[in-house]
Amino acid sequence: MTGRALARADTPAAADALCARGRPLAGATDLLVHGLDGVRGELVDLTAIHDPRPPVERLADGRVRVSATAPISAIARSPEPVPVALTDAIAQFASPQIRNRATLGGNIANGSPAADLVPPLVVTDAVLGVRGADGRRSVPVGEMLAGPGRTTLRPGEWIEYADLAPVPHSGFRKLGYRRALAVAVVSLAWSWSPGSPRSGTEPGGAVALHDVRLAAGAVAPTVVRCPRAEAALNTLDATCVDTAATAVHDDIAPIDDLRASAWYRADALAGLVRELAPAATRQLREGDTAQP
Amino acid sequence: MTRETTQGTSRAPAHTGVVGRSLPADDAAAIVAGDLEYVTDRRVDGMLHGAVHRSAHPHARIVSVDTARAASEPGVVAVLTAGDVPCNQLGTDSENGAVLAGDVVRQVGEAIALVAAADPETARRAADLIEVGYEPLPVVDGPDSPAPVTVHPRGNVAGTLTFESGDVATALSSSDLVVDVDTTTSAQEHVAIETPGGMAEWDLGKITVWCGSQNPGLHRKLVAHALRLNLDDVRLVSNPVGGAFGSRNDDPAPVYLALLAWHTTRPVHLHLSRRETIVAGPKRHPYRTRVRLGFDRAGTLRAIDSRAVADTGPYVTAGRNVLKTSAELSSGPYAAPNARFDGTVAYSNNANAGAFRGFGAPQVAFALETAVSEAAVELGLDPVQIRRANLTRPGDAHSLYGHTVSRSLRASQTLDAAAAHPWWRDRDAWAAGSAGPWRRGTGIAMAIKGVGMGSGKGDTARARLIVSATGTVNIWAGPNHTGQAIGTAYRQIAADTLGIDHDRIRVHVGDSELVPESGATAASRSMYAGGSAVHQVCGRLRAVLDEPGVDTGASFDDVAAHLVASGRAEYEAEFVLPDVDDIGRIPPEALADYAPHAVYGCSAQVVRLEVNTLTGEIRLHGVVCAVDAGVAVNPGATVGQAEGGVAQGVGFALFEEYRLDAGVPVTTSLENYLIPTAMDVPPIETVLVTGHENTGPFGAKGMSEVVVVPTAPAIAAAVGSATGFWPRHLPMTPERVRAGLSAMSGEGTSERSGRRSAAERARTRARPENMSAEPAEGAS
Amino acid sequence: MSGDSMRVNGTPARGHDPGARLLDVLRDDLGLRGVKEGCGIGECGSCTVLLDGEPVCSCLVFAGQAEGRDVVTAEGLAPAGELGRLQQEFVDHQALQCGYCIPGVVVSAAAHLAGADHVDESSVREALSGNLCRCTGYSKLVAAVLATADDGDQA
Repeated sequence: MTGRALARADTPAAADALCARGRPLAGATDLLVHGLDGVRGELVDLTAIHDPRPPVERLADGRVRVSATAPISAIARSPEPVPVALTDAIAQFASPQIRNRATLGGNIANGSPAADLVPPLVVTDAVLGVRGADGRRSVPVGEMLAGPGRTTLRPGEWIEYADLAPVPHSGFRKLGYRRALAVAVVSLAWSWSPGSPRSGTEPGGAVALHDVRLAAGAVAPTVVRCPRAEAALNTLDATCVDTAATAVHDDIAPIDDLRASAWYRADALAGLVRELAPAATRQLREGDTAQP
Repeated sequence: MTRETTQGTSRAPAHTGVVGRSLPADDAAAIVAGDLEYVTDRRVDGMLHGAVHRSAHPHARIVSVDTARAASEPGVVAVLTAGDVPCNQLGTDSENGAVLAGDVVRQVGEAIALVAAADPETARRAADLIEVGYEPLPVVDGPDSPAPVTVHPRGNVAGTLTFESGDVATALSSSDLVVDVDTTTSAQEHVAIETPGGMAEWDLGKITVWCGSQNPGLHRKLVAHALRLNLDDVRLVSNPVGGAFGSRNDDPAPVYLALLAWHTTRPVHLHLSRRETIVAGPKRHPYRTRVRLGFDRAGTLRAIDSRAVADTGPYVTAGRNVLKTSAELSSGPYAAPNARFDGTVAYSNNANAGAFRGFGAPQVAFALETAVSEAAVELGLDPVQIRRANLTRPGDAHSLYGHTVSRSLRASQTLDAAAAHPWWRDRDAWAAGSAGPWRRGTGIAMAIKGVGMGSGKGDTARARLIVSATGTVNIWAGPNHTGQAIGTAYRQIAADTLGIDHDRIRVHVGDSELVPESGATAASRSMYAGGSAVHQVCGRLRAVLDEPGVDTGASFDDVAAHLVASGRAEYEAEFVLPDVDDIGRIPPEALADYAPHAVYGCSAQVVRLEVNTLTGEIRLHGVVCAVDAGVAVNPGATVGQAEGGVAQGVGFALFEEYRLDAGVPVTTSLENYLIPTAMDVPPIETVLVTGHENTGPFGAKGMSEVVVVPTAPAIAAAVGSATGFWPRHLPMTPERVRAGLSAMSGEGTSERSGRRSAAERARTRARPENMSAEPAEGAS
Repeated sequence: MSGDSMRVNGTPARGHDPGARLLDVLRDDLGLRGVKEGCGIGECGSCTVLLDGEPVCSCLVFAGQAEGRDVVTAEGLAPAGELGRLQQEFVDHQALQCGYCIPGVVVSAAAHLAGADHVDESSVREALSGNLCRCTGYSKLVAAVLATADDGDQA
């Protein structure tokens, strides 16, 4: 088979130079799936960059820096833990073979509204380390996402890492049509902190949540935060679940497509929000140890 | 040492019998080492590579075909269009379409031109450079299409089959309960993991094609017809092949290969892509099936009334035979004094539908079994009890046709075997463990499926045997191997018939030059028909061995040498499958039109699962598959067939739906046409029901299709038991389940306005238009 | 174009086009036709090989991305003419039918047995979740892998 010109970047600086004229390529798990016909110029292989640093490292300010060019399976098994939402999302990502090639950077740069790894980045306020021949810049993940298949990455830029804020509790749930190798029909990442116990509630010591963040996939042109549902869940009272499940409809703009109708995406996301409250209550009552 | 020796023979050590033992497949070691060469792995020096240019339109007149740019690409050796095919028809029946479309295309993916080039990329690129001018025609997107055109001049009805026994209308009107179930089932894609292809060579006036086939005899005829060759000048080598499941029954790839090799006089290799396989390959016929069952208060079945409409796509191929199978199985394993079937198979510009494991049974069984399960709920009866009470007993008359049902049918024992499993017995405890949104349920369903082509068809398998002077018994037999290790089973049957060690026996399948015509690897007939032919040919040799003075007590090497020297080393035999003893209400002259079966296999299955009531997701936790296969010649292989069948049933039930939009395919890759992974298929417990089919080899009969059939209705029944929502449409996607639950609970009214109507819309979309209430009266 | 060396089943291989799919280099240049193509988009797993010990779909890897790395195919799991323990368990458990997916399955299973801290039914099903099999229903594949793990032995 006649191949494409493939340039190998051994160092980040070499990648900067090569990406000025070529198209960055990481695990190729989407690029080769969707075909090379529309791809112009040379491909720049980012998977061979020799990086002496581990794929995950803790920064002095408590944030976690995650490589955007390492295979995501290496992130999942890193001794330095990452937020549970990201580990959960990696575990539900495609298949073992794909996880050994796919990268965080590739998943972000594809700009898919259904990208599995993006909701965990959104709820952890990830800031992306972006670089190219013109220098480096830091981009909050929310500002990277521009629409289906679009990002604000400039020509010649590539994503080197993502810095994730520590969150005490987080998770990720994907609704796909099968248990592996499924594109998300709806996905939801969440994070929260335990709030102060509120007095005067029912026996059993009800607890409140603090700083609830929800990020939903495949329900809008990009992965989106769900501020209305978040606000409702901040008070774990008797009606918060109904309120949040209703409110979440105003946080999203789903469409009909091959996999599901807009109605179902909204309905199922409301279902995932409903699942969340009992899980949160249980997690807090059980005194689950805080995650990074 | 206490080894017994068989009196009068000396094939020492004594042959202890291998029928009933789980021997690994003959090619297993080569497979796990990656060494087995499949037909598409074949390579020879100097070979060319083929590619196909396919229609971009579901229905269009071809105005022009310009091959100039393709032909001028460096490396291109041939570009063939309709005019280059000596007889441009797939077989003798024009309703099966052209080899290469010349005037009209009737589906996306229909082949228009073939290219042979020096390498695969050049062939592909050249195929893309072919320019076809189309004049689009209105698209017939299903049996209810209002399009003002027909797919074929004679109209869009490809066939009908109606039959009635008793008086169904009266019986229904006098029934205490009528359950009315209106269902749809999807176009299922086979997804054999090896896509079609192989190689062909033209040499000395003969064409040899290496290409997967379940029906080498048919494929030889297709090739000979298209190339106007003598049948004896066409050789088809049809394995090793990476899966079939019906897709290699009438696949045109062998014809494309032959055509390219014949034109170029060079070896040509062709390997279709997954996309073109999905777009152009056959599918399971999508059906709308409506069943009405009439019961009396005690749960006795009074009437079965079935209407089925099958969408066969642009060409009929197996369509009428699929409908015939649906008719016979529309009453399932049940006895009813009144039964009616009214079926239509219709043309459209959708996917070409053809043979698929189960062959018309899964579609009607889903409706029938769902109706029986719902009747049990309505009548307050146990789902096993209502089934057991209404089973056709062995030797009874079939509900629809009245033919005698074989005495070896063990439907009752099969049902009991499934129901005896703890996953059924402990269903209440399972349900009680429901937590949060996940509701647990258990369902049961069953089915029968005929073995072989049916009465009046002259269905025959043959075998040839030659003893070599060195003591090897070579057997050439069919049907051939498509993954079920049939050659190993033939060896087991031969070894025990002859009373010699199976290592001395070599079985050869799949080469039309050597194997006598034995029909298709289809209709659950390989073990039963091919095994019987092997049994018979070995029986002839055995009779000779048993003559005084032949088997002198020497080693089999010496016996073999003697047989060769005395000209008694070669044998042939054939096995004609038995017709039913009594053809019942079928007019004798029309027997082959209905082709009822003398022998049926049976399966009953139990499914336990969880349904997420918030999202509609279904998680399977276990399937029990009880199967009546008579005597299992190779139990491990039989269990493997059962497990694989259940997995395909799981896919049919939950995921698989080949979808088109106005004739344009939308699920064209394995990324959006989903089949089950190892995480989706739950643990499967197979129970082999002890039985014995008197007309089969060592008591064996076919079972590989029937195991596909009960899975979907058992899953649907489990969803019903978990949630009260009874799915009527396959696949049971989370969206359909959620829409059903939402409608049932009237949910959605309190939340945002407009959502309820959206749910209603989703539900409506997933539901067929009501068929007209009264089926037309019909008799044969 | 000529690529730098990669090692395939222990033997250096060079001269391949770095922009070609690893799958095509293995099948066509090196004749390792146990590496099967079933979809070309990483969904079926029939082309699974080990890249530095990790299972990957060779249809989604450019040959240039394997430079300097170790590639192992089903043919390389045991010396020619022999079967490894895992392969033998697949034979003994009748854990194959048409067999087309099996070389890829065996490669994924071998990686799981070599790399997992703990092997149980659920871990095996997950490890095989990128390998579609249309014949077997997976039960016997899982049983064969578990039996190998029970023996405390590996491929």
